[in-house]
Amino acid sequence: MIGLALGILFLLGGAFFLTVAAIGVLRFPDIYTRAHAVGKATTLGLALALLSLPFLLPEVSLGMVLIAIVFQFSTLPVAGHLFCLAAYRRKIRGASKWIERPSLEEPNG
Amino acid sequence: MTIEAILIAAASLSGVIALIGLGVGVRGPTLLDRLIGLDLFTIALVFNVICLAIIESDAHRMEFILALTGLGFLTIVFFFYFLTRDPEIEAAPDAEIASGLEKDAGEGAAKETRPSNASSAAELGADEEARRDGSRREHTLQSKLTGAQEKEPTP
Repeated sequence: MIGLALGILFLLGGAFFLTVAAIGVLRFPDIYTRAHAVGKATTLGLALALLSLPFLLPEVSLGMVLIAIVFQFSTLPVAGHLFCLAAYRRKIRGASKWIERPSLEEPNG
Repeated sequence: MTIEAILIAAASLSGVIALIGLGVGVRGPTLLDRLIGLDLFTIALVFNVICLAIIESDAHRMEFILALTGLGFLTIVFFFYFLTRDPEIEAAPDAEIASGLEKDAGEGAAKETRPSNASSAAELGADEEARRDGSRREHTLQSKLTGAQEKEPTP
């Protein structure tokens, strides 16, 4: 019973963080901040949702779920970094005046 | 019964988030914003598959989740590769950046011409002569470049 409650809690937490990521993508003005919202909140949300899987579905083993969580943690932040790196290399400026590119001539970006 | 209701609510919420991702993918002002919308769509699809696996109590959707995550990641990596190969698909924002791009292209051309001279001099056999010749040619090349740069602004 407590496992069921824990699984429901994890699933709702994952749905909450996924909603936060969607709101961030809709509301943020900039490519860098949007990539920030997608790369971080989504990782935590999917990890929580996958962690709820062995509590609610007993046929799934915990090792498989841990492999999937490690996979998510290794792919999603890399994708979020690649968005920012592509925007940096294409010399796209931030929308806000507080977010300035450090310098255009930096060789290693 | 309430668990079913919670699961169906989470699945429909992830469907709404997938629609938001598609909307950003259609509306986004630049190409990278559309790519972020595509990424959000894929992630919401993964969450929806998790909810469906719990609802239908089907453990075999775990492989589908892994395959979908890897597909989204490979999509983004290849988009990144083809976006950073040629930086002239989208126009540069202002004239300063465009001049910087031209300067980069000029430096790349100068670097490309230098090793060809060195290799042609190395065919003679004498190393030191080749080095001197190479240094001379570099010097003449630099003088030519500076002469060209001095000539450029006058007209």
